[in-house]
Amino acid sequence: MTRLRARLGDAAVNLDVESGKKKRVVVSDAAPLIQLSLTHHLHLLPMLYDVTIPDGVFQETQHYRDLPDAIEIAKAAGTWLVVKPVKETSRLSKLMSQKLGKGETEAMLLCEELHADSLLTSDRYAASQAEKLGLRTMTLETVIRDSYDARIIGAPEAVRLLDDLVGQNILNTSYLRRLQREAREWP
Amino acid sequence: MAIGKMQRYAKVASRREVEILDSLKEYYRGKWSLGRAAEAANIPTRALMDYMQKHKLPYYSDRSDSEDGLKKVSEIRSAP
Repeated sequence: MTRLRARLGDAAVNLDVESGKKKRVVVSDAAPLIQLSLTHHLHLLPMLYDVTIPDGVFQETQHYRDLPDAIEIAKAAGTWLVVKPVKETSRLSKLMSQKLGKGETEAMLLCEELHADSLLTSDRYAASQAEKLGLRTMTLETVIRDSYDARIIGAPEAVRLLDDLVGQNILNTSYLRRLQREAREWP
Repeated sequence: MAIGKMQRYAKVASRREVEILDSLKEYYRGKWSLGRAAEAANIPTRALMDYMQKHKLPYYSDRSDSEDGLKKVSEIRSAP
């Protein structure tokens, strides 16, 4: 798929030349990046979205720098994964008092600042707090569905990915178990 | 002397695990995010994810995950 990267001032916009569609801007929390890396599917993200993470999320992924997932995410940060500081730090402590972690809070604030299309998170509680702020959220279920719909992965690979996520307990949730069953029927 | 040191390490390790399990309880009750649970247990999120993977603990997304998680947390707690 040919993609055109057009620079519009400070904002980088990816366009799919064939469809003319703009890639969705996604701000991610740490867990989905780690989970996709652990299942060797981190490369799906830049094929589908423009992904940005705040400093706090990047730091969360780098606590154990020698781990393969940390290395892969650090490499991505030098290429397609944009790491940005949060500007409006004054709201950090107020949001964190709502039982959120620093990385999740920064991801929500950055999502607001960038007017991103979605916040990618594997955390139900963080998603519910983000939705209260008017943010749209998505999970790895959307990433897998989008990858399949865009024909980046076929049904067998989607099933393998889901088997790894659920079977190895990397992300074991009821919605992924449902998708795992559904994907077995995909053409 | 060495045994005393080992016992102290074991005590610290078990106290740390209790903190992790307490945090996970709040997470499964839908009161905390995973990041907050990690911060409350004084461990990085990546370490908490590892702990959950090791103990086959689910991620909270709905009532069934919540019930399963709480059940497994209490099983770990009551294990000798």
